[in-house]
Amino acid sequence: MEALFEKIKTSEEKDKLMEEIDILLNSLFQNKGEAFSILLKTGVRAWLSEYIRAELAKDEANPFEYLKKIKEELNSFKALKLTLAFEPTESNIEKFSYAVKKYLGEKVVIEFSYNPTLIAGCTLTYEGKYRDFSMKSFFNSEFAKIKQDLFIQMAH
Amino acid sequence: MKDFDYYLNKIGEIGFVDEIVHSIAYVSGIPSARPSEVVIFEGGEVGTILSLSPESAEVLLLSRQVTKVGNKVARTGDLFQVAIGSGLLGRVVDPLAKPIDSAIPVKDVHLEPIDTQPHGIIGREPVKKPLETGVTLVDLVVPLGKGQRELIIGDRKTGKTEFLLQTIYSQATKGTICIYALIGQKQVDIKKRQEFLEDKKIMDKCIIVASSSSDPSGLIYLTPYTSMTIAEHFRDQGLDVLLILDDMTTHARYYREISLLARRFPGRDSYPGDIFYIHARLIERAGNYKRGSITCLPAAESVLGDLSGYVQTNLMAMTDGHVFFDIELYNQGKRPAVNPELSVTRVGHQAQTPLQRDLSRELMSFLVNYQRMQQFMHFGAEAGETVKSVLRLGAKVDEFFSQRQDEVIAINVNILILAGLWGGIWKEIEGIELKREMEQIVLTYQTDPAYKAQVDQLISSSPSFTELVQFLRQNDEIIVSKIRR
Repeated sequence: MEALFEKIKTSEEKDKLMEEIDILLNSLFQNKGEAFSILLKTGVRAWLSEYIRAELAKDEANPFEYLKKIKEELNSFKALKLTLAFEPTESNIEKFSYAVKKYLGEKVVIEFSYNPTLIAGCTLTYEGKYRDFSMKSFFNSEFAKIKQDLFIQMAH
Repeated sequence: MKDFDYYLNKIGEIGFVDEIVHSIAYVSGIPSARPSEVVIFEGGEVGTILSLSPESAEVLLLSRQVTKVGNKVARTGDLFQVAIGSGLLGRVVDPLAKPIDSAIPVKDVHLEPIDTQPHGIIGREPVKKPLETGVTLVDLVVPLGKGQRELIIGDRKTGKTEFLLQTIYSQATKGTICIYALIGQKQVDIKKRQEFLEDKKIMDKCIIVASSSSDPSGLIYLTPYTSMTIAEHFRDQGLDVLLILDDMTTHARYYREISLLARRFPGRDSYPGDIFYIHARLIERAGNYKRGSITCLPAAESVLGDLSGYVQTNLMAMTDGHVFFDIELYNQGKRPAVNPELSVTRVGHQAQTPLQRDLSRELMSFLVNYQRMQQFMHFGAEAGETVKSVLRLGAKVDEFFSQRQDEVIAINVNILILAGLWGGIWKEIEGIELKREMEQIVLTYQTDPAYKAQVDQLISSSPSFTELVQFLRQNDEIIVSKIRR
């Protein structure tokens, strides 16, 4: 399953994969199981279809148990919320994901959001912890230090 | 309190609102949250953590503005505190100790937590000093002491609130700090209380802590705790404080609502299992101390005179007695409608002088006898002279006890009048004429300092009620000279 999880970098990808696994799981009980092979061809992405076929062919694994295991693993994934001042490119996403998986583990996905008021930098939220590395907070704290003197100067 | 961004950066933890059920929000995240910790929402709303589970924290919302699902939440790192101090005197505040009577901010305040442990035995003293309510029937038959917790119980519209206001008036004029907690009341009633205190010119000695019925349940729930914290502040300065909680049955109902929304298992009458603890830990903070005292008068509403209700019996168990306002006496036109046979004071008598104790005993014994005679007469039997004299005197005592709801009468003049009644000064006078003459004595006592001093001297020098009555039989000019017939 590691090969499958390596492809999941963001929370949107995780949700998409979860949706596809749910479609396949439900299809196991439709038309006496015949819907499964049909939906494996028509209902999910090509790479996923190829991967699942290969895995099920190994050791004649039970499809229901296997898909259920994938779903449980996906549910155990944690999300790191990353708010940026710009919309990231594919290459940015790759780099961020690599760093996150390296330091926090394989089962962490990134939930990107965009807030231009941050100016630069980012804010991070992970397992209830919050860190603000944006230029906005830096400017606010620097301004707070000098605003008293600034107002006095402006008054004169 | 600072803003959301300040706490977010200071504590470094964030949560998100997952679900809102009326006044309770379920928040995920904030891993180091503690029970009773204050949290702040990104819109500026405030809440306090009720309980924690592995998935989420249950937050009781305290702000009037409604928060939304998905909103961010930050911990403040503090338990719930309110700003209290002498600057609150003369003000009407909400349970967060923010003024609601005007936009003028409160000065000379500092923060104190509202949920504290009651004092242990060390530091407490027995109830020794009397607390005059200014209501004749209560002061003579069901006397109260400073530091006592006395439950005021009765049906709705039986005069409980009027009695409480009379007590405030009587005590505020003597310098006691009075705190009136209005729990989940109508806005118009809150305004009426404020106007009463302002009209009597005692607002500078009083604080009103009010939550209206339109406020969030969490805010209503906090009202008596905030009031008690303010009372403790003044007690710690060595002052005597009178704290009125009007009313605790409403408080119990709102706590029941919060508990049921929080999916706590319902107990008797759907109240949560800790309803006794919620009230007991509050009422136990009142009492008489080496420095200062807090006299607590919680009010409770009964239904059709039933004193065996769940919350009512709980409150009776945790107080030092109760004053029962009987709906039947009220319907008979008696004011105040206090039932002396069903009212109890466990520690009030130890605060009385020997004369007052003697009088109480004699009066109570007479009232029991009088009631028995009245029941006897229901059967239409012929009354002998003894019975007739008891009934005549009883009717005069009823007249003596009847009192207007805006009137307070000092205990010494009550003792004088009752002694005069016992001594036969008003043997031939009855009804309205009797009442008028009694009122003349009271008025003279209130307006003539020399007469007041004379009466006070007489009362303080009399060792017993019997001796006082004997003295007045022989020297009735102290009363008769003030009556215009």
